[in-house]
Amino acid sequence: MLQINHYTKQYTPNGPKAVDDLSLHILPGEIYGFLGHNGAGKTTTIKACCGILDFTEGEILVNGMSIKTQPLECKKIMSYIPDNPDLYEFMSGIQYLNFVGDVYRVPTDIREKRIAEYSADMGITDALAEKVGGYSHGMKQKLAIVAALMHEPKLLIMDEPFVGLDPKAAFILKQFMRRFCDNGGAIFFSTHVLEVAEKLCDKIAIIRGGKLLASGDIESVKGNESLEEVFLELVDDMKIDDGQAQEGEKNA
Amino acid sequence: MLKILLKTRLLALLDRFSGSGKGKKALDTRKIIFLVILGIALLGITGYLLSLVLRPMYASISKTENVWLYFALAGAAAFLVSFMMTSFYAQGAIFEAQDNEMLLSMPIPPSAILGSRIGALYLLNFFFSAVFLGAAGIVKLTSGGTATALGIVIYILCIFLLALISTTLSCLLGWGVSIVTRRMRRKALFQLLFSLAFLALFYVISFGDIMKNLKTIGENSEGLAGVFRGVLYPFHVLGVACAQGGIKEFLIFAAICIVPFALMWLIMSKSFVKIVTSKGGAKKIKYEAKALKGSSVTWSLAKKDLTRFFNSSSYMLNAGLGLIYTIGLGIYLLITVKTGTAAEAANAAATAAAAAETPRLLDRLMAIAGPGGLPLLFALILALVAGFTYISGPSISAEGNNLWILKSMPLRAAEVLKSKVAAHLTIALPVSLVGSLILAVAIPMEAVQIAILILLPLLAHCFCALIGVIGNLYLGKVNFPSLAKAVKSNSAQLVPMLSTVIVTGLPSVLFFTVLKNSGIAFTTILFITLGLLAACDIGMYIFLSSPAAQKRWDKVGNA
Repeated sequence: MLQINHYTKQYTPNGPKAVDDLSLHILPGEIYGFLGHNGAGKTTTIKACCGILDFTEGEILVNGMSIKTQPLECKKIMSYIPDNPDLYEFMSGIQYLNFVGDVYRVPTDIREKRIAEYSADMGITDALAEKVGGYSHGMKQKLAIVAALMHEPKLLIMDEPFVGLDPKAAFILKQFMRRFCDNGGAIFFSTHVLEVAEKLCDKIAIIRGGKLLASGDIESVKGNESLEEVFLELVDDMKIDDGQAQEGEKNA
Repeated sequence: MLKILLKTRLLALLDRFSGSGKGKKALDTRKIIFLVILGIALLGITGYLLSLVLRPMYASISKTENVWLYFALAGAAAFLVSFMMTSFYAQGAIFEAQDNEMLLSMPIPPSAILGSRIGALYLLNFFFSAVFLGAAGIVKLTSGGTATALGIVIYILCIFLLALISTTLSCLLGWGVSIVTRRMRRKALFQLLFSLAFLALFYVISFGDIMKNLKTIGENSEGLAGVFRGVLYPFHVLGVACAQGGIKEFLIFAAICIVPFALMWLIMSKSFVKIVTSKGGAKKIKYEAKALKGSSVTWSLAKKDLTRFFNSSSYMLNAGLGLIYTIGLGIYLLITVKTGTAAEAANAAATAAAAAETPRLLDRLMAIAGPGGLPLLFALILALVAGFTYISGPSISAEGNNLWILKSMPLRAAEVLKSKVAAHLTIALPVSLVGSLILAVAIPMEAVQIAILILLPLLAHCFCALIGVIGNLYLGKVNFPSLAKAVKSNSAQLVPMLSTVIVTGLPSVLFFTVLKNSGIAFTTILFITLGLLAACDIGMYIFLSSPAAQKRWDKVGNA
């Protein structure tokens, strides 16, 4: 469903690589977690997968179509939920959902049904007449999730989707994610919550300083240890490596 | 504490003028010094330009017994300009500042927060007082006027005091709007209407009589002096204090400035925390499912932009100014035609052709335009005014933090860009049409003139909408911290405004200057303008669907 091949991103031509030669394959039916510390390159990668951010080298394919050469076809079958859902604050919730329905050309009877169903699941139905500007962070996040599901995408790309959600909404979202993938969809999402990744994901990738440290089935990555222990070990190893490299540079 | 907060406000102001944006380095000492020097230079240049107007005025008034009128006029102008500039800014700067909550959570007295806000506003007002009264004083001294040491001290103190009046009124306006709109749903529209009504009332009460009397200032300074001795008494005492160094007048003026300012401070300090911490409290509306109406992609995008426009008073006030002028011009003519003034003007156009030298610009233009030139001139004016309606100009910058929504959707650049043009024209075209029709009713004219009166402004609005989007596509940034700042960004305003005025006005400027004796009719020139605008409009519309536009759109917000 989503193939990232040798993806490299430099923000300036001769500057450092924000992400360096990253390759990941996300298959239909998989929940793929993307882990890394702050500034590791998770959001940069996710934005490139959604066609929001250009990239320097490599290739990203959505259902076999290149995000660079066929962006509209790719975007029709996927949805993106950013870490900070900056939605149109001047619109009411229902206006925003209707707008999304218009853009994805969802027939009105179907969009009414989906809005009713997903809004009820997320517990935001009563607030749909209010302006988005008056929503809390969690409410905006829920509205962004409902909007993302409006056209029933095959691929969901989410950046820290659990931030700001109350326990009930987080539980419903986790259930939904599982159901979505069981029905053939694929999810690629970043998170800092290792417990969620450990319990929810089929596969994970750990990135640090723009480089892939580990990826694959969750069991093969973590072995007999907890995901938290593995993550910290990998990060610490890198710190030691970084320290040695810096020491080498000084000596040189 | 107040000093620290005031310093922070000043740094924020300087940062704003230096063109802040993400990824920009913070202000350092060198940049601050540079900006301060730039500010002083701006002060000097503005003062010099003002002196060009003030010098003949002083020469005219100094011959009369009302020399104080010269300073009274300069003070009134300073007050008018500073109030116009800061009144819309006050509410946002005091009650809707983003850091209000953060500062209130710190051990800082609310009075210090309020003081820093009002202090920054006072400095902005002081800039205008200093420019106007400063230039007036320099002109007087360099034109043979004299002053005593005491007079100079009083004059300098008056500059400081004058800024208090506009600060007081701006703050009270902001306070009133905040109080009234606290529990409102349609805040933006109310703020717009309230501000316009307040300004109109203020203008009519205070300055309507000045404008009437300014025309005859040289011959009849007594008439104008009477206005100042009456409704504009504060400026009368200011004038006497500055011109003659009158201590009594100075003390009265000081009381007029300080007492209302102190009262304003008292009122605001009592309600500041309540207003700032109030979250509106408008009654919640429970959603009840209704049948949804679908729209085409372009129209849905345009509706989104229209909603954004009508929900921002600063967007409406800045980018929709031309529409107010259009309707204002039409209504003014409707009123004057009732009294016969416009009809006389239309008739006068024919006779004006015979006049070799007529003093007023409009008369001179009509003399060149020939009989029946008045409706054509108005058609041109309405078309030029279209440049002041630049709704599409900041429409891409206005996406700001919401840009990810459009970018992650399956949308072609053409759909997004054309929707922005559509939103602009949805607002501008009906207003333009109404303005033209009012004029067509007010002034007798032929069918061809009616056609030009309607078509020329319409095509100019299309031009402005298209060039606005293209200009913003190429020059606009998307990292403005707020919609208000995106709307007021230079390129967003200047590209559509200047290019519309230049393209629409250039053929007529050539006609009135180089080609005035060529025998070409003014109607022909306007037909050429129509052709030019239509060609540009078609060309730009085609461009919006081009690969070049798509490529550029792909780069917007893409680091």
